[in-house]
Amino acid sequence: MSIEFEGREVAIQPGDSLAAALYRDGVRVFSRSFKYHRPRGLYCLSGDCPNCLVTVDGEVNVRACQCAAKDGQVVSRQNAWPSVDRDALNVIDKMHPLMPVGFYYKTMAKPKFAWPLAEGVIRRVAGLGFSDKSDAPVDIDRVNRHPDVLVIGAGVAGLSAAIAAAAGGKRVMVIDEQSTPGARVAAGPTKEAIDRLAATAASNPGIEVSSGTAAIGIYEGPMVLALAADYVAHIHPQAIVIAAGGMEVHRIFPNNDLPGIFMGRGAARLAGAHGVKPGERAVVWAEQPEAIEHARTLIAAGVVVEAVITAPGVDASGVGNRQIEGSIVEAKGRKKLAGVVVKTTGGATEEISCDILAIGSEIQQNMHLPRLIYDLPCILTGDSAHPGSSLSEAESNGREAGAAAAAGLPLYVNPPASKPRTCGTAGYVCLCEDVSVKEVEQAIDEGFESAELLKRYTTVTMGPCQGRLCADQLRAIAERKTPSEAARVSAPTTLRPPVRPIQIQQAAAGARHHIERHTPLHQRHLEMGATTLWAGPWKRIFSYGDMQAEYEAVRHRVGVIDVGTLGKFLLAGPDVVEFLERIYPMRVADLEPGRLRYGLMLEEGGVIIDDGTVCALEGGAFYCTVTTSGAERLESWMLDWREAWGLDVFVVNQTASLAAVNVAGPHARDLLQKLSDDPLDKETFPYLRHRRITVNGVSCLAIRLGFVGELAYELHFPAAAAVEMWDAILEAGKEWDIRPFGLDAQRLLRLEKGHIIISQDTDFETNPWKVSMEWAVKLDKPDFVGKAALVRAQRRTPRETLVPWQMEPGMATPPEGMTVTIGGNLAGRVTSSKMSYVLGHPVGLAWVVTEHAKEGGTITIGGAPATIAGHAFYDPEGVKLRA
Amino acid sequence: MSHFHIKTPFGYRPVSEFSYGGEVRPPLAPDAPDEEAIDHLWLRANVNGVQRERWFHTSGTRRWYTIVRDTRTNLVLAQPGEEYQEGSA
Repeated sequence: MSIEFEGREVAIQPGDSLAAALYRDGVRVFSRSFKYHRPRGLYCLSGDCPNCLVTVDGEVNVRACQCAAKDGQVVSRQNAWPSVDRDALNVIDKMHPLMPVGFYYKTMAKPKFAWPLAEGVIRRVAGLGFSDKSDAPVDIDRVNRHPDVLVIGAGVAGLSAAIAAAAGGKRVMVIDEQSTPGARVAAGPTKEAIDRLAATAASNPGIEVSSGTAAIGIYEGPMVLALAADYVAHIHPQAIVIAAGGMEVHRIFPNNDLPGIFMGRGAARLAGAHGVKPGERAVVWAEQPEAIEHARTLIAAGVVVEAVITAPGVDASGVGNRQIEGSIVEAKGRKKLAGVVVKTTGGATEEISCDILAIGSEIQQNMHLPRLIYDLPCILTGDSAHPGSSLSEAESNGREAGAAAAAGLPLYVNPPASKPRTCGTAGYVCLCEDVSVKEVEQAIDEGFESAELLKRYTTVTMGPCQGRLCADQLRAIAERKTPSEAARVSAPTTLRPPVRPIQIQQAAAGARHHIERHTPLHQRHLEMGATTLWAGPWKRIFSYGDMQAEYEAVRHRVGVIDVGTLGKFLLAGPDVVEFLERIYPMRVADLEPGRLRYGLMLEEGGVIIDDGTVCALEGGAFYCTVTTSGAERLESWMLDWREAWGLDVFVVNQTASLAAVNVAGPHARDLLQKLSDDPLDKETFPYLRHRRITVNGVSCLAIRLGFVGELAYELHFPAAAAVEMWDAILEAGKEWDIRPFGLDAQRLLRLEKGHIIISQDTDFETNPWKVSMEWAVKLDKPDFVGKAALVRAQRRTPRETLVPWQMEPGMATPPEGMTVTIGGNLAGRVTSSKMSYVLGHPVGLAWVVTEHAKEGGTITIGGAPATIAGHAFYDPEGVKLRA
Repeated sequence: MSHFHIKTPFGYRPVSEFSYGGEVRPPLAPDAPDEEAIDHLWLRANVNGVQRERWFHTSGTRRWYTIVRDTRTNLVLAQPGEEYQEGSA
């Protein structure tokens, strides 16, 4: 197994991270620093520093230490020219005086034309890799999870907490960013404890351990956003236990960024967990006892530990060739570490030659997640609560946290304030943005004193590590420089998600999880070559390829359209009449069974929100249809009013359970009569009536409506029978050359009749008066939704009125949305516009200022004259639809 | 999106499954004077604090729920069916 690394093969072993595989192969410089192009090597091996960002299979800024090596991966380093090993841009490192902090604000600001030129160069020289801009969008799944207790971190404390919470009867989910619990922990007592606890957790059905899943933010709810390998999880627990562990403090001294310098845990991970020998001769800086374990791990891996530099009170006896009480004050070397300068407690300095330095400094909490808690039900445990806990402390502390989470105790635990650190006087504060102590001090001299200002000016804490290494050090420098204002400047900078790097496509996970609804006939339509369009959540049929042929079939012969997307509601109950009287502005109480009525639906402000039909059924129930896009919304709307009024009504949404087709055209009756024995003649079944008839052996509610202006029967029947019904209608219609028709044809058919489409021809302030539909409103009713507003709106003339218009034959059809002018002044806009085949000229609807909205008036649409019509263009008397 | 949970007959569900239905308001009396009617139609209290409000469980039970929520903290002070007592938070 191997990967391709900058043109050569590098062997990998099972369980390797990219960093481990490359390091074993001899790679020492993993990146060039952001600004000065200084060589950088592995440092933390925990995904916390920016040093090992590489490009993997075209994906930029992948943390090599966190990325599992896979056979065939193509890996390269970033931010260097011509190569990371021999980076010519390293000359910038000699140019510090020319590049003070914020130099790009200062030096390129004038003359103005220089900045775009400079920007191009800076963008190429700085930055982290080049993203592949040819990417096709990648859809990543988003899942919702609802455990009782979420534990973040599968270390000793986290697993102990999970076991305790499960013992308390809770469903527990544990997430951890490593591939398995303890995967990156060197062999030793910690690893053994994790293995033991992980085995216990794995055998507990109440605990789900989700490895390879990184928490990247805690939000209100609480909701934890977590990244897994191929999906994004929204986790909604009742309580959260944060056991996100700790890390060593980033120590600052001259040349503290040389390759060969490791955090103590980093060196131990490389040697103990990956089996890669980090170097030949090591110095271990032990500020706390855990570092002695690191020294032992290195020795076990065959590294000669030249010296252990201990803080007072740390016992290193017997470990390493020498034990010196003191601290490291400087590192030596150019491209890699050659030695360290040690200052003993007595004050003497000594240089020790070595090729690796493991800094086992004070343990601080991984502060990001704890600092996102605010007042959410979270409890901190392990290093997240008590940085530097011993194993037994972590285990007992974890158990307490888990039990508390399970018991639902008041869990509002404030995170310990991160305390300011001591900080050296030279060296790199910020590895991400390449900012040295000197530069921070210079920025303070320029007046940027508080940590928040320093952060913005120097960009310290704003790089890939998001302040993990540098946030507290920044405050330490600020306090040292301006001690009198310590209280003010030491306020920690605000931390925000994401805690871990996130791809844009991960941030957009689920953004395209559209619900796409299909009628039972959808597949039939596609087989017939139909094109579709969105209508609310539905995919509807736009056309079957020849809109004019579809149109002609309806006008002259017969056509059929799938209207199964209509919102369909059955309403019943003791108060149903009262309910409908209040929901609709027209009268419903006098509607006899077998009859139907067109109804607008208004919101409280009198604005039209939908329209449809109300059919009075035998036995006191009603069947109501609403528009395709309105069904979902109007269901909740009706239910809301039902509760507000306290009426006893059942509202049954039959939108999905019923199919509907509209058979329309002069031969519609002839066609249906072939499929039905029920009487369909004009006398028995006239216009604006509905009857239950049997068509093709299926009981249908047949409704005689006139949306398209022809003799038409709208059939509503069980969705399961849809395909057979459709096929039977098309078969029976062959003798009249039947055509299925889509929305495009339907829109012209209805436009010739002057029918409006709610939300195409109306807007958010359209009331019935403005569209001349007074006939659909009965203000003498006691009350209905919108009445209060309409009564008042009636007192004034609306500013604009919707009118039908037509143009002379031969004129071009103006686009919908075109402005309407009168005498050169803006006077309205076109909402619908189409070429009428039957009339031979363009027709449409438009908003026109009311004083000019008179039948016969002339308006100008896009420079062309049009005449306002007074009524439907086609069959104004409605003879055809009553046939 | 703010996150909190609303109690339904099927347990606590995340607010992302619901649609906001606005603050609970007394109905407008049919004979209300113009000023009152206009306020009712066009103005909302937009409370910075404790509010009774409606939520429709769009992706779930398809029912309405009335809760009491503090708009400053998004803490739900009374779930559907619970009595809200002032000061109990």
